[in-house]
Amino acid sequence: MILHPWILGLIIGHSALLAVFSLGVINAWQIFRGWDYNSTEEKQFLLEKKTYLVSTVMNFALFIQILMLFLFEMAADELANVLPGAMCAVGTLSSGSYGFPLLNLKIVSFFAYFIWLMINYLDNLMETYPLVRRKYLGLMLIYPLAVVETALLFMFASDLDPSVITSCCGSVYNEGTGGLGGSLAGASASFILPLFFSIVILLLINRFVLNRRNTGRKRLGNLLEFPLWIAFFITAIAVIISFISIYVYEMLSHKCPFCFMGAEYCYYGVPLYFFLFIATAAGMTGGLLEMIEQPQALKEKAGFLQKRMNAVSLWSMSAFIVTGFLPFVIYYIKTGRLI
Amino acid sequence: MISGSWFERQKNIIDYSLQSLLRRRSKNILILIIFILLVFAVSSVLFITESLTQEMMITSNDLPDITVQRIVGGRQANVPASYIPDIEEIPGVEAVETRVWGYFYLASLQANFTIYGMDLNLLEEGEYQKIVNWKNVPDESENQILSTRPDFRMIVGQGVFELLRDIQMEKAYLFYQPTWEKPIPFDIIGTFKTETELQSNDMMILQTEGARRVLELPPDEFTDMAVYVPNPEEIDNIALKIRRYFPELRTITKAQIKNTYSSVFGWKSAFVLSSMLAAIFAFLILIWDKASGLSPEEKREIGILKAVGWDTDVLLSVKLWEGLILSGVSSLAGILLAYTYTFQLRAPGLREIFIGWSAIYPSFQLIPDADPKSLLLIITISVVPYLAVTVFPAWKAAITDPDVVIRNI
Repeated sequence: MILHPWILGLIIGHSALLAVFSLGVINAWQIFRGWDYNSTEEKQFLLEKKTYLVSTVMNFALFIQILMLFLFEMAADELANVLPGAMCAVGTLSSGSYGFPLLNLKIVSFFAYFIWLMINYLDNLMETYPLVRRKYLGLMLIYPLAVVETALLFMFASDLDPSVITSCCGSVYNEGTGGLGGSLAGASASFILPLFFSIVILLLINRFVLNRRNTGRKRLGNLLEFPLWIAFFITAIAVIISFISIYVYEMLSHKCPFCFMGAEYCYYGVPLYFFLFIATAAGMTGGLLEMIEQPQALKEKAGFLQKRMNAVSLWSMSAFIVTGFLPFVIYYIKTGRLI
Repeated sequence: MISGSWFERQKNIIDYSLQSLLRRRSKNILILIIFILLVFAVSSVLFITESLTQEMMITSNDLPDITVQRIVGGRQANVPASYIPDIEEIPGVEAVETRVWGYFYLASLQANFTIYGMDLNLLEEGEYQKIVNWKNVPDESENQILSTRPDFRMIVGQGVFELLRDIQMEKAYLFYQPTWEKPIPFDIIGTFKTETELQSNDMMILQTEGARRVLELPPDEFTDMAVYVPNPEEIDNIALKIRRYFPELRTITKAQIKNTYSSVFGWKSAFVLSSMLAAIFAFLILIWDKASGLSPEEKREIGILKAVGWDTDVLLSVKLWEGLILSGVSSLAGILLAYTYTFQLRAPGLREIFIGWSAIYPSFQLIPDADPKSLLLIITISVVPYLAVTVFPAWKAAITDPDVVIRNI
């Protein structure tokens, strides 16, 4: 266990998150059990008021979750100073067996919170709250994520040992090393880039060709967006590791997806990941909104929100591609060759 | 009714929140002051840690790549010169430097001086020239002494110099231990400039041969050795080799020292912060109490707003903005205060916790260095719990029904 200000910050933030989320879930459970829109009892009146509490709480929880995602990356980066062998966040994350699972879980929960909030926003537009039971059931299903996350954080913090030598990003993201990081780095750009761009082209075809067709195809296309965006996110991470990072560091052997978040690289990674996360979150939500069919009024509003989500995801995706391939373009213009 | 675009709405809501904060001035000022103090305390601790770590990182670049000590019976012992050729032969080693140093305790001043043996002629020529204020040079008679006794000269740190001046020994100092036949006089030929104070404050740099006399170190033995390795990738391997060849030697690499210092500073600051947790909790309880105990006027106000058509949503936004404004103002004020306290006033009170004890306190300058990262950490530690605590009371206030209030008017 390391007593360190960043660990303390993470623990305080997560405790606040869990406390607030627990408050939300208790109320969500009450709403889920007792909801009856047609009832005129005082209980129903109170439950309707409680929906405001749950919305506020979840908005706040998403805000903390985003903050914690950044803070976690920065904490890992700071803690690398303390751990022998670690040069950046990767060393901290790989020093115990809980670092990377925690990071992955945080990314999954970010998307889960985002989708939930969008559906909640949509539901609140309607007077009758048609999705109320389903969305609170969803909330209760997300809650274990927050619990596991907090537990993992404590395990991660107690597992950190300043006397154990860990690996640096240079060895984790190296073709010679086994494991996921190594194979991601080993995936050659000639394999991963076509894959990435074919997913992007598929997404664009889906948007601009299928969407113009009749409703049946359109529905299928929109439903397809959800898995497509997940694939986009995963391949984008692979592209960042195996291609983008090389041109950011201008070094063939350095393939770290964390180092460029720091001041040495002008916080280049911050906008890059921001666009990637927003694009994926909005895209996934857009796909999921297609599943809403009843009632008709809600469906119309969902269609409207879906259009906005689709626009956001498309623009963020373009921004991600521009930001990501800018170092490559600059390098190519400067030197006239590839690395 | 609030109308217009989203931004216009928010602008009006912020306007209303500000007004409402100002109307309940006496209640909010108390929260503001405590909040500022809390942010101030948290950020001072973080600033001082960061600044010290930064300073340590800069100075530790000058440390030897590997420090080699000889351990006999679990304690550090003198290193005989016989090790040097063997270590120099290890591929990758650029140079092995021997060092002579120790401490000299002066009971009458209750001061512990660090004595370091060095060839002062090199010091006079090299780049060290710039960090020393040379003294006592012009005097004819002393020049003579200097030339006759080149082994008994020293340069001292500012702190040492001030202590010696108090006992009228600022020109020459007599080293003496009761077991010695006679004292050894040393001429002070210079003092270190103040910018090196963190390292040099309690230092006495003696000519090596003189230092051996004072430290009672036999010839051909040294206190420890510094091994220089130009390629940083090889340092760990060479340290391992030295330990394998000579199990009685202990190696300390530069990276180990850096890590140890970072974790010590981190540990200290987290310790201070954890002891502040009690204060943070007390503050949160106060906030909870203040926020949930609505005064009748506030209740009436909310009821009237509801009656004229304000939504629960809008009222929640009002409460949220109130919280954000209050925490924003106090964070800003607290951080600025902490910045002044740490970097202008040099953190009196807190400094001692971090530097540790020493007979002579170095009155060093902290490097102003506030990473934007630590601002995020400050906000997480102070603002997030505050907002978390206010969520429920804000909702409670916002759902007040108009009829309940109006009936009571």
